[in-house]
Amino acid sequence: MITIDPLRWLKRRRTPPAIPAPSRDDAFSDIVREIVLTDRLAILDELSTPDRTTVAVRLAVRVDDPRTLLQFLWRRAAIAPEYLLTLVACLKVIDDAGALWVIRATTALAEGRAGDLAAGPVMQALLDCLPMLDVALDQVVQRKRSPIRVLRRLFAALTPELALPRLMRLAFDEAAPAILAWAAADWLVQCLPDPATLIDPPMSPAAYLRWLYVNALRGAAGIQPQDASMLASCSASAAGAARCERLGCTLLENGRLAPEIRLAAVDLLMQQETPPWAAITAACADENEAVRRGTLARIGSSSAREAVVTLVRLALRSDMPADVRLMAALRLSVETQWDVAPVLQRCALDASLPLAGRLRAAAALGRRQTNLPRLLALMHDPQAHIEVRAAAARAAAFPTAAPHLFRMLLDPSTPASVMIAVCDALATPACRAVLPSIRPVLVRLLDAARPDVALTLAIIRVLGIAGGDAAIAALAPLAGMGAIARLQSTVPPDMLDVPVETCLERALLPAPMLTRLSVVLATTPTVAEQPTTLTQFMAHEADLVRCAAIEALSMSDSSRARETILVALRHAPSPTVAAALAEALDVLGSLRDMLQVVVDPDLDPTLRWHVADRLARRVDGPALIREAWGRSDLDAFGCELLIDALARHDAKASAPFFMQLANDPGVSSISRERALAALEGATDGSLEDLLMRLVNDEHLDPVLRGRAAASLPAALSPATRDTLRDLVRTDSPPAPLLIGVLRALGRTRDAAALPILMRYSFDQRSVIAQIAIDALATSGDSAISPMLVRVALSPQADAAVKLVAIEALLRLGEPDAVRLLRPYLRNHSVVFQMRAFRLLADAGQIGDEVERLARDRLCPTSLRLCALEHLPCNPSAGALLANLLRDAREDPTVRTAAAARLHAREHGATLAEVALDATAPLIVRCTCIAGLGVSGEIDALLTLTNLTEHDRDPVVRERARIELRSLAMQPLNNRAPDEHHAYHHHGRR
Amino acid sequence: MNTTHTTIMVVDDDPAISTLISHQLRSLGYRTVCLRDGFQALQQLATVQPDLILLDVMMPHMSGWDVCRQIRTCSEAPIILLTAKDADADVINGLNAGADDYVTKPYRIAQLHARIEATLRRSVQRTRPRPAARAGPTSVDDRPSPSSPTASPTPEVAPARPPVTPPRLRLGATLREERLRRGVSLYQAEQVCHVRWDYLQAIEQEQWEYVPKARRQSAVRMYAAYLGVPLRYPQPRRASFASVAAPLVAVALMLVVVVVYFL
Repeated sequence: MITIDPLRWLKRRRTPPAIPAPSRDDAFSDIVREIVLTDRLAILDELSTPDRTTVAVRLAVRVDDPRTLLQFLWRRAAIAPEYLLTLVACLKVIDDAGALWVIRATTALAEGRAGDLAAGPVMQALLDCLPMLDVALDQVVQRKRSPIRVLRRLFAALTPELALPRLMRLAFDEAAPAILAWAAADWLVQCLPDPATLIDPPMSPAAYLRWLYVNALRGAAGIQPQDASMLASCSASAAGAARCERLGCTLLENGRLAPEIRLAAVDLLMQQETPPWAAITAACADENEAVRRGTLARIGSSSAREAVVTLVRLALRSDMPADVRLMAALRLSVETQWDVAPVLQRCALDASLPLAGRLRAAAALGRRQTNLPRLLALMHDPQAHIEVRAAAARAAAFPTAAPHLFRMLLDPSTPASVMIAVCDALATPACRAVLPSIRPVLVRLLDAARPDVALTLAIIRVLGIAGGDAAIAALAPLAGMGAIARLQSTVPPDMLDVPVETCLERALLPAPMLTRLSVVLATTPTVAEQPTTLTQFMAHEADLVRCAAIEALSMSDSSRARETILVALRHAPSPTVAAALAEALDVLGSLRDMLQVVVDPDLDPTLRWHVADRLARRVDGPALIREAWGRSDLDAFGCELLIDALARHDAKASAPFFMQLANDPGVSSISRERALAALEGATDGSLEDLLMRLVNDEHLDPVLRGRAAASLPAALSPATRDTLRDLVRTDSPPAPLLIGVLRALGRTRDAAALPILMRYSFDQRSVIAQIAIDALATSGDSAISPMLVRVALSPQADAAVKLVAIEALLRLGEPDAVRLLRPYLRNHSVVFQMRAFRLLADAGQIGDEVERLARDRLCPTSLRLCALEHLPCNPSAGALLANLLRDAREDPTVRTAAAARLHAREHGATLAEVALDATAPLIVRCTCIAGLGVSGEIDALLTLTNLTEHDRDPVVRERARIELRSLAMQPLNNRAPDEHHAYHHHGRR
Repeated sequence: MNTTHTTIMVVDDDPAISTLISHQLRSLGYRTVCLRDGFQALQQLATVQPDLILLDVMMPHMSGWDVCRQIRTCSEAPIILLTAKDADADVINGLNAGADDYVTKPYRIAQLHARIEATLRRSVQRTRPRPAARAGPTSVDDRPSPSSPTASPTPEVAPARPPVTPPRLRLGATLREERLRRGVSLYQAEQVCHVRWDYLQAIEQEQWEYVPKARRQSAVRMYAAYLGVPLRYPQPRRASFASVAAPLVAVALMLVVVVVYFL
């Protein structure tokens, strides 16, 4: 349909007849010309907007320097928005307008200064600007100085869709100036709507760091644990302190991140000139254990005042996690730069702090004598934990503290643990000067401490250091049988044969004795070592007292002490006491005294053995022993002791002496045999003839002849070899002689003897066959291997001979030996299994078999224990040990061995788990507690604290207390391990 | 008895004591082999083949009782326990572990000698009906075997020996021994079994009147179950039909295959 507009028609009619107007193009050209000539840009104001734009564009193209025009349009644009569009049109046609004009114009457009951005022309203009903007940004990147403020305004105005790609370019462009790039990273953080829109991480380290920065501040979704290493370089980059702090805080507060990253953030924060302590302190209460401990460790490594202040706050704040408080207290205990004594005192008294921390704090006070008043306050504070009081007493080992310590000893209300600690303090060199004055008191205390062996031992130690006649008089009975009499006097005589379990269950003993009995029962490595009756337990305790008294006597270097020791020798000693007596005699006695003990047949034989051993170790000892040989009072056992001691410690120099004895028909045959045995291994060629004379002496005992042959040196003359071969070639000589000759022939590596040795390898007498095979292996000739294999596989051969043949193959390095030996591990009785295992282990061929054996419950326990001893130190073995330890159905012996073998630091959690398990056998728990003591980690300390304070079993509490005390004091002094430790670790570690 | 050729294995962790014992025994004409602990003893037993073992009880790694039990699984060598543990319970434990005799320290060598001789005599009497108790010839032919002075010097192949079963213990002693072996106190056992510790002690001492009759059976059952001690010793199983038939079938099949192959 056609519509007609009547008004339009009327208008057309009223219009005068048109005069041909000049062309618009010409007019525009004229205007341009006029502006150029007059330099009056204001002419543009007179034009309509489209015409102005056209003219301005033509003008921009025509003039040499369009900047005047651009400035004019920019100024006008501030008043009339349409000028902005004109400016944009001009910029489009100018190539070298300058980056800043483009950025300004784009910013103005984006800010809506040309009108609503939704309007078509404005949006079109903005879109037209974008290519120019990109070029402009490229130019900006090339510049040394960047228009940061202009750019900030631009990106603030641009919509995120337009800003993001350009910001990413700027932020992650390797060529961008660092300041601009970091500013862009900041803007990017502001306008990034979603971390997912971030580009892939750039390759350059600097750009990667900015990428991390942006990512971290936008949720850190893409950050991996391995990025932690990059964070360390942030401080050295151009990021600046503020960004580093922002980055560090953001990462630290992000609980979803890996601990490595968060701890790297802590490192970053700690590197700052003024670290944000509030944020760092907050991390110490983090849910993640690794983060809070790592943070605390980092704070602890700083000696800054703020760090120490933070540590103090952490240690004292009861709302902080226990591990953090403990770590803070431990760190404060080694602080040397700042005076933290008041804090340590508060820590020591703070019942909410783990006991390990309290002990450590109390011990740390002992580093400065000025802290003595604080220590004394702790020692006397009845509210403080007894162990804390004891730790304070041990730490108060200053000369000025002696009177106070002395008063504590006299105070009847002082607990036994504190008394022991006071004795420990008095025994230190610092307090020795006052000891003579308190000697009588110590003697009285010793008498009063009868039922408490631990206190008795402590007082004995102090008395030993104090010395003097009174001390020696008090110690003398304890070095002998007085020790057992003293202990037995504390219980009714009819109780001595009562089983120890009855004593425990009915609490028939004094409390300190009960505790020690429980601990001894729980910590002995095998059931057999547990005392069965009270008498056995008393004997064990008396041995400890005797050893301590003997050691104390040996400290006081006086003739009276020596006499006391000589008297104590007459009292029947146990093996441990005999060793202690020998040591004391070595210290106090002369060589003559020692020799007199060795030759005295009335003395205990084990004591004589120990003294002979020590005598032979002294410089002049061997000569004296050799001189003593002719003594008329020397009994047969004394002769053997002297020969054995010389053989152990002076075999080479004593060879002529041994030879003389061997040749002497007046000497007993046993002594001659021992002398000949002592010559075994001697390399002196001059012995050959002498020994051969004995070998060839047909009137001599075959045992001695055989022993002489076995002691022949390895290098023999051809004549001697011939003789030896002739001795065994034809008629079978007596077995002892045959054995000796076969050994000698094997050692000489005589090829001519091989047939003889091979013949005897098939001897029907097992002993002879074994010796012959052993001699063949010693000869080292691998040509005999087939024969040995034949013996090993022979169904007629004795099982022992077969095993020795395989052992010989193993010594010769035959690969078949391992193959032959392995079946012994599976299919034979325990003795063969044990032997095969040892051979394989010694040859380093046990391989994976060791783990199988350790795991296999059908294996004999002894074999499993052997396997555990030979487990390698690798993660697989560690996991196996942990599994064995955790397994409640496993044999307690195996569990205990596994606990003792387990690496305490790597498997602290397993040890703690089993130590806390109330259903586990006590010996297993105690071994785990010992392992925790070795570990010394924070978790171990916490577990030990937990066990000390909360476990239901008194033995576990006691063991944990001992470990904790030792652990808490360890780095602060060099105390000797207490007797419990010595007992527990006997033969174990 | 001809002691000159009798080898005695002395196992003691104290070198002074083993030197003393060794000296005394050698003075009496025995040959000795001294070892330091149970592991060594078990490892050397296969090749040394002693005529008698003198075993200490309190040793590292393994107690003498454990070593004794292990030896008894494969050897009838006479064992004398020589230890400072002199309580009745210790002697009973040692003998229950399979020891032939028990001597307490400090000992008198004359008494020890007499006991060694007696044990060797009993050992000879025990082995006399059987020509050779060991796996293969072990005695040197220029001397009679100390364990069988009248035995023929010619080598004899030993018959397969039946496994040596440990002597059957009384229930109370078995339970007590197992509890001690596991390192469990009566208090701990009470927590797990829910049976009063004094009842458990009475069960171990077989003082049945102490435990109420109504609870006696259940208490024993629970305690035995806790310690893993069967209330009845397992009887040796008879060979099943399958274990007999399977090898026969296998042999028949092999024959068939061989015949088919040759045909």
